[in-house]
Amino acid sequence: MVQRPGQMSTKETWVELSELDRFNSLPDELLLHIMCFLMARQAVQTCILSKRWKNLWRYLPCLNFDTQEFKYAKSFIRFITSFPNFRSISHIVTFRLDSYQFDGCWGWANMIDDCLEAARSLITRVIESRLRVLSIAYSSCNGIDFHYVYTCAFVEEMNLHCILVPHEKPIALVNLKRLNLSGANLDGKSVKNLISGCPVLEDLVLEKCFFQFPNVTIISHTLKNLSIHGFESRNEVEIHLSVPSLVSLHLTRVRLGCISLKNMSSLVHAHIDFCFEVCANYQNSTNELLKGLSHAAYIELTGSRILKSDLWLIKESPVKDLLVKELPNCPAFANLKSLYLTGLNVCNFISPISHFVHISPNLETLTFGNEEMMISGTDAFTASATGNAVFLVGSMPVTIQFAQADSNANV
Amino acid sequence: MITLISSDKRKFHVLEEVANQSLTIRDVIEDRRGRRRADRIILVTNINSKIPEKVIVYWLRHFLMPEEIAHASMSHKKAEKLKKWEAKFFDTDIDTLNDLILAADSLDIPSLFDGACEKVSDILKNRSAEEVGEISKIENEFTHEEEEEEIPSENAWVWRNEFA
Repeated sequence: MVQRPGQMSTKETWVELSELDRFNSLPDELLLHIMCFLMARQAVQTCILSKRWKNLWRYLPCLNFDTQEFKYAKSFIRFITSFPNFRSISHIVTFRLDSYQFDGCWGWANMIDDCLEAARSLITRVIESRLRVLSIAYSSCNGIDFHYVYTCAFVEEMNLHCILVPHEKPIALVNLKRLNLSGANLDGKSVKNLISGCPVLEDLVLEKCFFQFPNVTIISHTLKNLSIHGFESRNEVEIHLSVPSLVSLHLTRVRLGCISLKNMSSLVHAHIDFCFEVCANYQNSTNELLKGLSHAAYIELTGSRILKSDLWLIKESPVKDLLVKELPNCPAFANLKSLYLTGLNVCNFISPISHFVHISPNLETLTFGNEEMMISGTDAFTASATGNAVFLVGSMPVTIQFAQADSNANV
Repeated sequence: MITLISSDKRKFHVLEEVANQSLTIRDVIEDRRGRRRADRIILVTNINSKIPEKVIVYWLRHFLMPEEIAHASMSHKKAEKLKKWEAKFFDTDIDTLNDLILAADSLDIPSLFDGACEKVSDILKNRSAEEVGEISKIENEFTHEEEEEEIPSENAWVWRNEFA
């Protein structure tokens, strides 16, 4: 078999390459990046791999502590207290502590205070340096007091799971841009304290938080993105939002009538997903939601209909209640480009939707995402809509697109 | 359209918008904007040809998934699909991952870099030193004495676990 020299050399270099110790040939900073995904204890254990790895872990910029790595509280405490003796902690950028074991697991129950003290001494040292990202998770919804984390000056991103938010203790997170709170108990006082303690906060995510009666108000001039997922409360708590700089709003599983929006002049994206329960006194309440969305370009209102099997009753979604009550008082949606609605039986609901279309002069796309919807009344809809529309009815979900005035109408 | 040339002289033609996902290439294109067409060839010297194929597949998949989609519930479904696809994409041997990491680092593609690094760390997790050495071909050059005494005693705090 004849081989041209060029081919041969390519093949040879290829073989050489694959026989090299390639993983070990990665530069240190790349190896360190890989180690960032390991738990702290495993990362340290890489020191036995070879001479090169012996000291590599000492330069690791990320620390992920997970109590599940340790069988007993004692070994966790030993590890966490020895750690700073073996390396400098001044250049740690990311710190994470998952302390699910603190909830009283076997072998841990009577050592919790010591564990917390050991964690405290390490965390306070770490946050004094240039820490950027801090994540602490705890398992119980009772919350645990890590109040000292609320005063770290350098942190830019914080993720706290089931950690108490203090009422009165000072909060001074002067560089914090992104905050993710989950499972926290929030009331009016603590939220006010939190927002005033974060002067440059841009992203706020509240996940499965418990909101305390009677109301929670978020007033901020820096927030750009706000998400509230899973809205847990026993009583009908009201949430008032007044965030003029907000660009994107994402609410899931909220109860219609519990949320009011004001001063949303920068809003572009809004996605509001309702749970099927509606506040008892919604029809009489003065909380306004739809008006607050009037500046947005992309609006998505979802909340599926529920079939009550015991009564054989199909309940319309809260989206209908919302549109019926609030749409007549709404100003024009001057920037609205795209609207997505679910849970509506469009055939019986043509006039409110066509009103919505009328007051949205720049609307390009109107989408109904509802599997069970029938579009038998499209002709009626053509007549009542703006009149200059092309209807493209494809497979579900049905998209109805509004194009230029001179196009032909097709169904 | 720009042309990428790998170290083994294979050519890859890619749409500019697709290759823009590499911040390095984007900067190079930006620097050369307005010049002749011949300049639109970029040499990617430190990568062998198997990797550009993978990188381009990755680019194309992500190109189909623009970061900003008008409606959150639609983007959610797409993100789920993308996640599944990525899991498959990274399900490969450590040498390929290793090359992908190098490529993603030099071409500056953050999501590919993080994805590959995470996958490697998953492979290394919960394995003994011997296993890791075997998988990643790290040669253990410690002497017998070091291995038996020095290293364990220095790092006892890491290993001592099973006492109550």
